[in-house]
Amino acid sequence: MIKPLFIFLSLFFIQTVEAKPLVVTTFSILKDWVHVLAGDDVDVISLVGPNQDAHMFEPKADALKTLIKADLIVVYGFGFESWFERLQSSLPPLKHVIYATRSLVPHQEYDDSLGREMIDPHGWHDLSYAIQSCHIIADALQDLIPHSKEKIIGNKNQYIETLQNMDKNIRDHVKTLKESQKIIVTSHDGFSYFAKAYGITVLSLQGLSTEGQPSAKMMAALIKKIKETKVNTVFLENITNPALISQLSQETGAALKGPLYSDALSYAHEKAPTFLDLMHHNVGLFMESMKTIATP
Amino acid sequence: MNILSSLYSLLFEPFYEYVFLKRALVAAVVLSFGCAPVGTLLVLRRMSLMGDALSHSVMPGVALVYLVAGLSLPLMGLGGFVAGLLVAFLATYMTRHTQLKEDASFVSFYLIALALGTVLISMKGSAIDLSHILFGTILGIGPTSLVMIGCITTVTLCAIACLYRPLIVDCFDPHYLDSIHGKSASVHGVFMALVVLNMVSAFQAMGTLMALGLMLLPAISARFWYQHLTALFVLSIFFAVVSAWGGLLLSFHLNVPSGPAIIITAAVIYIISLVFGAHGSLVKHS
Repeated sequence: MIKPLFIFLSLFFIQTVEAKPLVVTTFSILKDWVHVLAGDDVDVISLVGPNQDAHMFEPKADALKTLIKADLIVVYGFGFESWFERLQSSLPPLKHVIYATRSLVPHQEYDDSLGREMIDPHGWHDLSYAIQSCHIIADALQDLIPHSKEKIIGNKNQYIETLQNMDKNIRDHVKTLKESQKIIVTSHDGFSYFAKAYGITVLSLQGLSTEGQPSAKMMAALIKKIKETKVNTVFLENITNPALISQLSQETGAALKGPLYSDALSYAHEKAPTFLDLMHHNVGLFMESMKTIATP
Repeated sequence: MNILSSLYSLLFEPFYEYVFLKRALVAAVVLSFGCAPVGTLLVLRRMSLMGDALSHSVMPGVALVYLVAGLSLPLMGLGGFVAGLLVAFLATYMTRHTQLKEDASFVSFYLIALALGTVLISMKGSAIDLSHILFGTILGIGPTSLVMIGCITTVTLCAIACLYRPLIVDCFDPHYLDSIHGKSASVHGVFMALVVLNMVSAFQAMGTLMALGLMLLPAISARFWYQHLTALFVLSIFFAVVSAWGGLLLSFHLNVPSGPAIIITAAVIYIISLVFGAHGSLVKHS
């Protein structure tokens, strides 16, 4: 009687041997990068999942529990995760929080629908920023699992080479376009970094965050601009309401294509389950749209 | 000539120039014809706040259907309608069969619906943040929505026309109606159904928060000008239409979000009526 009881009680004291450290990222793109860099040497959890809107994320108790258990927390920064700052004030001090944009300078934009200057958080669309973030995350991972240092550095260099090739590819493609063709219309202003990196104009209905509500004036202005510039495609996004952009498409005759993946990766069976797929998919759609703009 | 043409470009041209604005105006006008009379009846029955409770009970229904069936406006409308009707039915039933008074009953059930809805939604997780769905926007009304709004307004007006006398008598003296017809409960039921129906109709244009504004503010404002019932109906519809038109122009010229702009215009009309109205306003106490 005592012996089984003892064994039963001792079960409460056995610690499962945790070989792998837990890395918690705020959203799916960061999770992908950690996975590329450290592979199976860490467990990764992303608080905001695929196809979810990190701008308006409301963390539940689960998120808090996960954060407390984490060995490394990767946050993007640039004000993207405003909910994270609020979380920190209600938790015990979290260990090992790194910002993937530490020492990077964000772009500031005037957001029409919110009526003020805002920091644009969508830095990952500019591949040079993405590369910098990979360096920062790789350094943190090396501190976390020093025995995998060579592996991480190897993965990092390989990935960065891929990103650099992609960057060059995009620039080559953009060179083949005429000035008047370099315009894209999206649902919310998530591609500004991409635009600035490659010299393209991006027009959108909603501002930097999906929180803003467009006014009739903004809709009218965008419609006018689309007709003027002869843009023939407008893009849906995976995290925004399609009603407004559909209306835009109907009124201007522009084709409704997409979805674009701006702030989150897609589910595994969809078109953008990794960051590379995301860029590939988006850029493909952009190029298709821009090439077909009629030039005078 | 110059004044006329600039007046034209200020007040009418935007609607000719842009299809989305024209659609928004049509949607809002048709909505007004359904919502304003229902709102007038709500005000007469002293149920204005109950309308607020009902609008909150529609939301969980809409959200749940969205999670199960995706972005299908008719189905979402149906979900909202069922949810709202359920809350209305439960609340009214409890009022008649327990010691609960109508206001406490409504509040308790809409809160339960709201909380349950929120929990269920959070369990499933949202692919698109639900506020994008729930804050419907009048600038994005598609043909399906327009048809839906049209049908609901037609049904509303027919129902009010057919049941005019019982509805009015039920407003003022339900016991008298009971003694004559013995059916005041079902008239009340039909009225509740109309309120929920118009709420559902308005939610996709204005969002659940603003939908109530279009229903109540014009009706409340109308009472400051006329006491006669037919006049109240007509004036409330007129105020609602003017609010829609003015609000959309405000949104167009001054870059204000469209839903709130319509409510602000309705509010301006309300304040003018409150201060200067012919009956019982601040200036004319009689």
